[in-house]
Amino acid sequence: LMSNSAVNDLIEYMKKMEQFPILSLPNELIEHVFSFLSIEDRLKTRVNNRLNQIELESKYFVHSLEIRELYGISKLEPLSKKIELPEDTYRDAQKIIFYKSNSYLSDCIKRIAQNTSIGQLSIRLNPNVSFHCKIYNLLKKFDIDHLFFDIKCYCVMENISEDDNSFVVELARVCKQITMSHNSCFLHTDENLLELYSTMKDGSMKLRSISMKVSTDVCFAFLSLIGIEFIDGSFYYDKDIHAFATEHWENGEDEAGDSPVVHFFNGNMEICFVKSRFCSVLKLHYHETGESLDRAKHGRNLICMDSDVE
Amino acid sequence: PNVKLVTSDNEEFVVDFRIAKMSVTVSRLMEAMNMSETDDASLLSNSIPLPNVTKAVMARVIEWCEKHKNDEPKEEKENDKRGRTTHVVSDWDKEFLKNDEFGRLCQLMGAANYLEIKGLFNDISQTIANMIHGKKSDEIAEMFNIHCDLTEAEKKEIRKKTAWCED
Repeated sequence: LMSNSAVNDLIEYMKKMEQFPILSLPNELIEHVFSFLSIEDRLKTRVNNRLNQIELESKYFVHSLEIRELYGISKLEPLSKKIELPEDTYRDAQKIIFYKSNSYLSDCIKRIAQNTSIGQLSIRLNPNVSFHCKIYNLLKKFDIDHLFFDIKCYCVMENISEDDNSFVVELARVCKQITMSHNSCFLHTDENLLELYSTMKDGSMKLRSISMKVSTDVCFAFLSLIGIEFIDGSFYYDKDIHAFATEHWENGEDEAGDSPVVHFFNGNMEICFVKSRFCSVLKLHYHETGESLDRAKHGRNLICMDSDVE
Repeated sequence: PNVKLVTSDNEEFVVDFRIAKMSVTVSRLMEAMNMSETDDASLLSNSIPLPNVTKAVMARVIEWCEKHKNDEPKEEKENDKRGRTTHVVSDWDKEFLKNDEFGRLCQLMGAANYLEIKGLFNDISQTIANMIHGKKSDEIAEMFNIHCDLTEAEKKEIRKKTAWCED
């Protein structure tokens, strides 16, 4: 027979069980509830071991996420919540906004990378080389469709990766599409562009398309590495390469003020070069089908420049 | 035509065939027992045992189904890789679930899952998600009355990883 106090304990216990029934639900139902939550709410719900484990083990897809560092604002400022944020990269994105680069943030990003795949990820950071390195190395752990990358940096960071590959090549494994803003234009050297180009060219990378700002000198050096020389205002290139350009390429800007654009094709690769004086735009695109390649060559009113070949 | 449903506590509910069909599970059982809408004898001579649902919960489920029996079947955005599940809980459903204690809500969710009534299941999931939304960790723990079995070190670890979203 149970003593009175044991009976009371049992009654108490049963009452309590009544009160926290979320843990009486099987894991897959809790997981289902989690699928309705934002990243922020998910992470906060890890209030005991079981919930923590369920959160970690359930893979989920985030449509769009923006990770952004605000500059010159202290979190402690009472008005900080009312500050007008710069324009969002995506509409309706979930946001992680922080005020100061710190190790907490990279831990958090790491945790998110473990069980998500992401549609669009936008990263905007201020200059801080060591922190950037951390973030780059974390990005490799993600699974991303489109990465938008706006990192202010003012030095070449070719060796930031933990491995031997340059970090753009690392990113090419996990992202399908990458857009890098002009602030990131110091990130590239001609060698790592060549490495990226070569790995994209055989189609084995996840990456299909990348757009980046690259200093014009580095662009020419890269083009030269793949057999395209720019001499006295004209391009000279191997015969397996084909070039198409906008009408006013030679004259610099056209009447509408648009920059001249040249598209080079080599196999399935398209290299689009929008020349500016100091910092040009370079886009690499791997065309998966012949139709897509044809459309790129002939669907845009471009003029074939192959007659220039000598 | 009517269908007999028997709960775990041996209560018999007699519901319209259309209501019974709203549960994928019941619908499958009826098929297995050769019960058909046009065969009254098959409906009269059989009853569907539902050992995972109690009388009290069943009554709630039927109340929900009565309200929704004329709904157009709607396409729910699923979580198959399209992102966060979203579900609009109608005003009636909000009112319906409003007074349920959390415990009852969970029982109802279990039943909706077992019976495979997707609309109700998502209503409840979204309702619980709404309860969680915007709360701090300790508020969530308090709301669900969850005993924290994390060590101080683990707690610290978790706090670190959510530092950006804690005030």
